[in-house]
Amino acid sequence: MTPKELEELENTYLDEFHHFLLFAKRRILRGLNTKETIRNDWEDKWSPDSGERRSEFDIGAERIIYAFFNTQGFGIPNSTPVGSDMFFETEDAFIHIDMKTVQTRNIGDYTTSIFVGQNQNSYSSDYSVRSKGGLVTRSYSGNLPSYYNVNGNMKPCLTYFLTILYEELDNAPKFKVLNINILCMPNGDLVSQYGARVFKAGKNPDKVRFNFSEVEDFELLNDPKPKRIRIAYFNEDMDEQWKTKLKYLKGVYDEQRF
Amino acid sequence: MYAKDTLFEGFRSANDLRDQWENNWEAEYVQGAERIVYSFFNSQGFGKHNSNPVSSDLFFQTEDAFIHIDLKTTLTTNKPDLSPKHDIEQNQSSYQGPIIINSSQSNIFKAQLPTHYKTTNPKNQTLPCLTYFVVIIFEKDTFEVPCMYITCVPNGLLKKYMEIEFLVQEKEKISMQDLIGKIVNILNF
Repeated sequence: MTPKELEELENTYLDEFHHFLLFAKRRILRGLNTKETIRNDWEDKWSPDSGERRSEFDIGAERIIYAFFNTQGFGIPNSTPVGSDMFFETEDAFIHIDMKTVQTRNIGDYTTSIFVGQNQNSYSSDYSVRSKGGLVTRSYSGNLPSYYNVNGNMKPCLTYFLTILYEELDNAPKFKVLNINILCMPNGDLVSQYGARVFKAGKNPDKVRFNFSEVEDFELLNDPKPKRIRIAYFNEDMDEQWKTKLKYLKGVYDEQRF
Repeated sequence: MYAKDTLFEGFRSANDLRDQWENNWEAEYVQGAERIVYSFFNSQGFGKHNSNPVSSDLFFQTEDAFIHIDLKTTLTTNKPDLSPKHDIEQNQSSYQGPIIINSSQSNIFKAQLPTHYKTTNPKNQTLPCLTYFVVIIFEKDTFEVPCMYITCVPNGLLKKYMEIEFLVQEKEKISMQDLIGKIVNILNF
């Protein structure tokens, strides 16, 4: 498969996932809210301060989103233990999809890049980090192969991230979804095209972030180049302070054409 | 039973790619098995998924119940007798009872789930809370599954009818005791 063919395939599946999210958006948002109907039965048992670091939104959101995807029959789930939460095989690819939820108090971790796990991508590259002594080079290697070899049949490994930004509220439902995106991180074989731009330093030396705003297009495809980032939901009714911080994503949203 | 072959094929699906992930494997199997089992349940339309954070991994509402299902995996090397016993957590049970250590009661297992849920929207309903576990015992080297079973932990209101106590403590975890023929359905042995 040539690099361009690889990008065409990445784009084809991104189109599918994006359109599915647009199609199911209203039901997904309702699904995220279903805990409200029985809030009185669980609220006093939810104690995130006692060792549970996640918010009451995160756990339920994963259940709802993954359930929606699983009903679509996109592919055959695979039991490989090194992979994203969703990992399935289609006729022409192996596809990893992981979900990232971020609340507005960490909005800086969301607007132009997103944290990724080593078991969720196939991209490897050196990249530069600014430190007190100047620029330092770090190496990163994703744990996934660029292609899976199934008895001699090579299928590319494609990586997607579904990202959700939400605001915590004082009163039930205690959250407001501001934005839902689906992103495609380049396959490792595209390193000659994207180089180190894919990465931004993470909090620790062994962690990286997918710097999606720096690789926003499928660069090998014909003009107008499709975006590697697609907006499935942008809540126009959000506080101006968040809208200002989401300036980049709002721009992508406004330019989206179908 | 009807989906057993499909599930088992799913459990083995990692084998075709084993040389491409084994070097990065940290010996946890549960993520791969969860992917197979949960995607299967999700695709069946058993009910409407609910986003309640105090629950098992799968949690959905049907016409007449709220249902929790969680998956437990263990290696054959950890359970050579394939005994039907598995961990249970507070947010996965409405059954509250004594925990037995060395044949004597030591503490109370405080379940976090209600015996019934009372819905507020779209209408007021009182629906029972049912809790199930799918347990998979697997071979580490082949992902073959010599034993898989599903258990139904009694609803908390049934405590007075239970003749035996079934919560035991092993290390830091609470487990269900052997109850073959009572609440365990063996799917494969």
